[in-house]
Amino acid sequence: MHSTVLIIPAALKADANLLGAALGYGPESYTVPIPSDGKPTHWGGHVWASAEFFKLISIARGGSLPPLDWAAHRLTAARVGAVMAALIVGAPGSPLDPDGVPYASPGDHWAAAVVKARAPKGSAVIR
Amino acid sequence: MLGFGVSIPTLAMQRRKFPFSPMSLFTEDPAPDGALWRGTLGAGVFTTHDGATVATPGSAVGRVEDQSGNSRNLAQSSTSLRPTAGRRPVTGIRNGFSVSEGPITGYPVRDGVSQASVSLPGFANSTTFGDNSAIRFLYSTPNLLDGENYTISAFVEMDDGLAPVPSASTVSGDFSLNISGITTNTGVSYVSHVSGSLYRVWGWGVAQNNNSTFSGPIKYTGQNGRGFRMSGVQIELGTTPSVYQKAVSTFDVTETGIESVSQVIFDLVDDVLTSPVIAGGLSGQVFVAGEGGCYVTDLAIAAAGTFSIGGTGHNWTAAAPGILRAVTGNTGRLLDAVIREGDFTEGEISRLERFYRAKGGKGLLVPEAQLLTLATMTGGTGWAYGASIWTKSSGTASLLSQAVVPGAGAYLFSVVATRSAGNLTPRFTGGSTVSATTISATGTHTGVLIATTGNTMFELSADSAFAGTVTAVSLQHLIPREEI
Repeated sequence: MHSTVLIIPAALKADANLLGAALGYGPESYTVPIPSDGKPTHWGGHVWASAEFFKLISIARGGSLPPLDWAAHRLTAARVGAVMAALIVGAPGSPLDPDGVPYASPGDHWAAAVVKARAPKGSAVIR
Repeated sequence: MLGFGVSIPTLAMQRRKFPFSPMSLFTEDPAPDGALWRGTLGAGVFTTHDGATVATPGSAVGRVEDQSGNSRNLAQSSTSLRPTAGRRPVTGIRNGFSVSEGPITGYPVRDGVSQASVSLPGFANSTTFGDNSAIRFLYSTPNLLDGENYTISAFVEMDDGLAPVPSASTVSGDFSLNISGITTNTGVSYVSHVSGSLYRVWGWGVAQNNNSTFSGPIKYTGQNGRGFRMSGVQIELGTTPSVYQKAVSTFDVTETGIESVSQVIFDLVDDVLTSPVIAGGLSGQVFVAGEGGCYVTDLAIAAAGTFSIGGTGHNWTAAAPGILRAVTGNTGRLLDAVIREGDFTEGEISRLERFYRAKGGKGLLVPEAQLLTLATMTGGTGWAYGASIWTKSSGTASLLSQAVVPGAGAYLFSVVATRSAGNLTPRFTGGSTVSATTISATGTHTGVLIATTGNTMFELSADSAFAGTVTAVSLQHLIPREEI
């Protein structure tokens, strides 16, 4: 399991949560507002993610979405694609970022990821 | 009972009508006559919120069973919000490495080494270090306190069966044991024969995080060519090694011959467990025990309300934001929680406290001396002091502050403020800034700040829009009462 931070633009929070629910991760995956004061521009969360999760992310970013009935989950393939394109993932040391060095604690990881996610021209994969 | 180990003495049960029964979290079956804890992860903690799969160390906790039979289980249906099951020796965790005996992929920074095909006797996995034709290292990134002495140790079997020669030099001996990327004080006198050709080696040095966060064994090209297998790495405070603790992961640390204690570990980002609706509500108290100490708060749950613990407030229902950080020593490691209607007696609290201290926790967290007064605070632009009240008009972002050197630990603050516009943020600055939840309403605001070494100032940071008053402040160190 790898310490993983997921951050999504506020405009895509609802679709991102629907996607998480469709994939079996439950109804709420993004519960932490960013910034913590004022109107959130992003929402995020922390999870200990498995190799299967990173495989799913990689495949989806390659353009192959799981064969789900998106309409049944109140989504469309285009909206799922938009979520995947905008989703910021921080998972140092995971298959998604094998050269990254893990942080000492989820809190440290979260704090660092938030700073990087808010930086201009942030990458979709952050450490 | 709300899932978290409600443990109410018999006398108390007779006195009131209880919505929760006196059963403990994590026990395998109902504990009789107020018994609290059995120290083993029981069938009441599940990975899935439907209770289908019993949680094991390292797996997610989706449900903590209500032992009262009322099905008021604490649960979480979203996987990313679930805490993690964990265990540690009753004597506490000394080994700072989160993986101590592989597999090799468990070490985040490594080169020139490989997984041994045959492990050292008694170890799950071992790592092979070859000759000196290449630099070889097996580094991890333990969370070390800068400037403190640490000892790093490992079990070694040299390929030639002879005793190993650890070295403080990069050009002599067989290998080095580095802390913060720097060779430690070691040598032939830092070698202990275990059995056969198995030895334990160690070295000690000062953590210097500004140099590197990497620590572990390393073989330099300038050292001897003898290869070896290594396992059982340990890093701990002090200058001598203690008995080895096996760390399978951050969540699973054990020690041979020592009782293991179960925990639910919150990530202190977003993990949260919540009860179902409590139809009649509850007016009582909750006692929470963690790595950092115990704490009791009043609990008022309205009819059809719920109880939750964790979340973005890092607290539990009706408790000060951040208090879960204090109780868990900022580790997220929770030992138990006890909920009851009405107030705990001193005797009940004392009994619970003694129990969790016996399980490696700490005592009741109590506030030390007051560190702030309004009169001694300094107001920046826009702040004015009069009639024992600080008043700020909008227009400029500025600080209301006082110099304090808190030292690392948990601090309970309280701010009584009126606010007509803008926001006010309590925080420690100097070194790494530590901020509490922003105040954006009139009222009494309490919370917990976890200070870090280097903090030198307590501030109420007002944004430019803030207009209002501060009529009272309080800042007190929270420490286990046995440490006063």
